[in-house]
Amino acid sequence: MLNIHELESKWLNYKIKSYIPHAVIIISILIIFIIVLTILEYSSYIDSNNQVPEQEKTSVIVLEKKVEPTTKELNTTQDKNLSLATISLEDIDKVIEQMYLKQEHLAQSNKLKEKKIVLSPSLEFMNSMHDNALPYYEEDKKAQVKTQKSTNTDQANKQATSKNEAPEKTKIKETVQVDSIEIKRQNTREDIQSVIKRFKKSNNPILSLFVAKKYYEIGEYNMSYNYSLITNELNNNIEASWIIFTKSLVKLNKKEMAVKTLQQYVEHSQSNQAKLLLDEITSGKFK
Amino acid sequence: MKSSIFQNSKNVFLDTVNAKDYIQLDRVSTIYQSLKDSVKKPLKMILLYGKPGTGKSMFLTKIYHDLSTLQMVHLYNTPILDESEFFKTLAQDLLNVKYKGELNFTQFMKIMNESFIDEIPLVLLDEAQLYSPALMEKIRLLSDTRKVKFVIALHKTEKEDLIAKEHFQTRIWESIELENASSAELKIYIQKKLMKANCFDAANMFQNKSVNLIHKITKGNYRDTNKLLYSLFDIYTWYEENNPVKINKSLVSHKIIEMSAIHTGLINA
Repeated sequence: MLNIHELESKWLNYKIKSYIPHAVIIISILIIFIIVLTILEYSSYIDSNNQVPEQEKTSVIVLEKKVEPTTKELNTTQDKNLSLATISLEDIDKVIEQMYLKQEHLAQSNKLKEKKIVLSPSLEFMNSMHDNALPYYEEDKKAQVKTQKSTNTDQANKQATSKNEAPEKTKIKETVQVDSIEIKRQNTREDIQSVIKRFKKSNNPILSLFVAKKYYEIGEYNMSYNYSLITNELNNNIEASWIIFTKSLVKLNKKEMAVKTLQQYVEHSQSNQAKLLLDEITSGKFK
Repeated sequence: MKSSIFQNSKNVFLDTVNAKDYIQLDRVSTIYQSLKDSVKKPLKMILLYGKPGTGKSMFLTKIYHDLSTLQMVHLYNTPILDESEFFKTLAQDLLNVKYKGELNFTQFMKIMNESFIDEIPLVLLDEAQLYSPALMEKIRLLSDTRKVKFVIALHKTEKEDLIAKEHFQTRIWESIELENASSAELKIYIQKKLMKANCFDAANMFQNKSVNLIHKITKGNYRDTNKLLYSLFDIYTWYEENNPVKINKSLVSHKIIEMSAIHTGLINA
């Protein structure tokens, strides 16, 4: 006689028993899979931890590298800008063209350097070079000192009667010509307008920086502020544009804003020139 | 009470050896034909061997059924283990001589040599592995006289292999091995068996998947299959009477196949 209920329960037990090996296999596969996943995640976590500081280091190096050529370039342009007052329009054009070419060349070399920098272990010598480099505004001062000295020597030369001092007199005459900038300022305005036209065509930050500098030199701080801001928007790694920008702000009686922006830039770039300017602004030396 | 399709199907798989229940399968019919051909040859002995449940008894029954009208054939389904009784039975069947007392091998051989038989009788011995080695040796000597032809069916085990080798190797002219059915053969076997009993609906219930499961459980053994299917239809009959919602009449349930296998002991639950 069939006992179906007993048979059904036996069948249920049999089914459960038959599924046990499958369940064991599936569970063991899952466990192995989870273990492998955790191991992989752990290893990737360790790798990422090791990689992050290296990336930070390289980024810092890249920033330093990016800042360095601009300062160099600015130094060279500053040298030229000092004598710009006495240079004609054609000369300015030539200079700008050269600057433009140099900028392109520097940008290319920077790209190459950036690629190579990742492999270079130490670039401390760059910092030392940076420290040794003459800051832009110091050169302005030196130029002023030179003119002062020349005027002092002029007075001294007036008192002196010896014939050997004749060449110095001719120098004095030249400086006198330099002082009569009012006539040439009109020229620089024209020059600025032509450069602005060129800038509108090319959108080259070097041109806008040049315009900003020129406006700053002739005392139009609003314009110098505007053009330094435009330069910054085009390329925010040009240190000179930051300097002109903050200087313009100070001149426009926005010292707090100037200090804030310069502090941010110093934190970002670690620029010595910017630091010195910041010190001078905060101490009240620069007004 | 009206008998259901399951009840009829259940009776199909009753474990009986009946020549009418013989199912023609391609491989089996080929073997059967070769056995029939061998019987006609002047062979001393034919060995039919295979695992239990492969259809040896059915084979012998079928051949007995087919040849009994054509020639003198005697089938011994149950082994006669007593030697005197064995020879007395042979004497009565082959020579129509009835002995009341003891009849030993020497006396039987003397009678056989003296008697005149037109046609060599065919003796079919089933379960021959149960005969004693001494009696098997005497059967061998008897076959050497060419007065009697033997078809011996035995299980294929190590012991039986030894019997086959030691006693019959030189005398056996034909040796036929029966094997378990393949899955396809089993499907044909089940369906033919059911259709023979007009159980067409039940025959249609057996699809490849369910037959494969049955084959997996029974390993293609006909006896085990019969047992399993008998139990299966028994369970179906119960469900039909008590809980018909639980059964699907269009397809054999794997659950019920396994339940019947548990019930018959083919699955150890």
